[in-house]
Amino acid sequence: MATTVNGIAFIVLAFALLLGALSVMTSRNVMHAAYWLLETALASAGLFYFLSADYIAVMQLMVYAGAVGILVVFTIMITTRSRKDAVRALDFSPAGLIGSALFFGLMAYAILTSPSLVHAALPTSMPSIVELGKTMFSANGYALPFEIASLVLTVALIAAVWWTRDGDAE
Amino acid sequence: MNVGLDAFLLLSAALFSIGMYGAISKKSTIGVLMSLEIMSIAITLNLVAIDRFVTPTAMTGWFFALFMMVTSAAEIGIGLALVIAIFRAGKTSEVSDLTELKG
Repeated sequence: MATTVNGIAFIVLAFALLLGALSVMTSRNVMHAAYWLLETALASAGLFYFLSADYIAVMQLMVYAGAVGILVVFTIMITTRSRKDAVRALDFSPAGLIGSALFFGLMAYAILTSPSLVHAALPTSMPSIVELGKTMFSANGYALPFEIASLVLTVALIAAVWWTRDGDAE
Repeated sequence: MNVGLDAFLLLSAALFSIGMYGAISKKSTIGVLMSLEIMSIAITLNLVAIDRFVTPTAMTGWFFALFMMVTSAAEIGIGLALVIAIFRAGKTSEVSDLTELKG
């Protein structure tokens, strides 16, 4: 497990992350955008690993790169009938560009001028997966939210099946 | 050379802005959902980075990130199911074609 966040690793992964996100925006083929989304998820899992959050990194790989990626690819294959449908004109919105640029400027200003908290050095104590399990399933910890999360997933699963069922089969 | 928390926060702000632009500008519903996924990746990165630098032993950020992942998995599941349902109803899934409720 990495004890510090290496600058070179951070730059490489940050570049991969932003490249993936920008390519999702600029890909004219929807399928290529889905593959770039996978690359973004992989790069973020790498960043989680360097933040000593290896459990979150594995979850990111399984949920985003695995489940969500396959779901997106299958939905594209169901809703586009020909190769011609998948390639589309580049969407451009000047208002969206200005709005998101302003948002980024505001956030960057807030982060760079904020007091000492965000400039803190890396603590030597590290989160551990053993403590994570103990805290998650202790009565004073996150046992109840964990159960509610599984309920949310069940409801979402049933809702997804209900929405995509064949309409004539009632 | 080691990087601090502000580098992670800046990176995640940039990623969130890119996702926000996509969610506003994309005309295909799947494109909008992919942009929402990018935004939620940015938020998860934020939570994990703050957790590592500020509360490394309490792991509050880890739990937030995990529950965040659960809700965003539910969101993308229902979102894509809705895309398929809309496609079945109207043979299209373009945002600009969904004008039935337009006044």
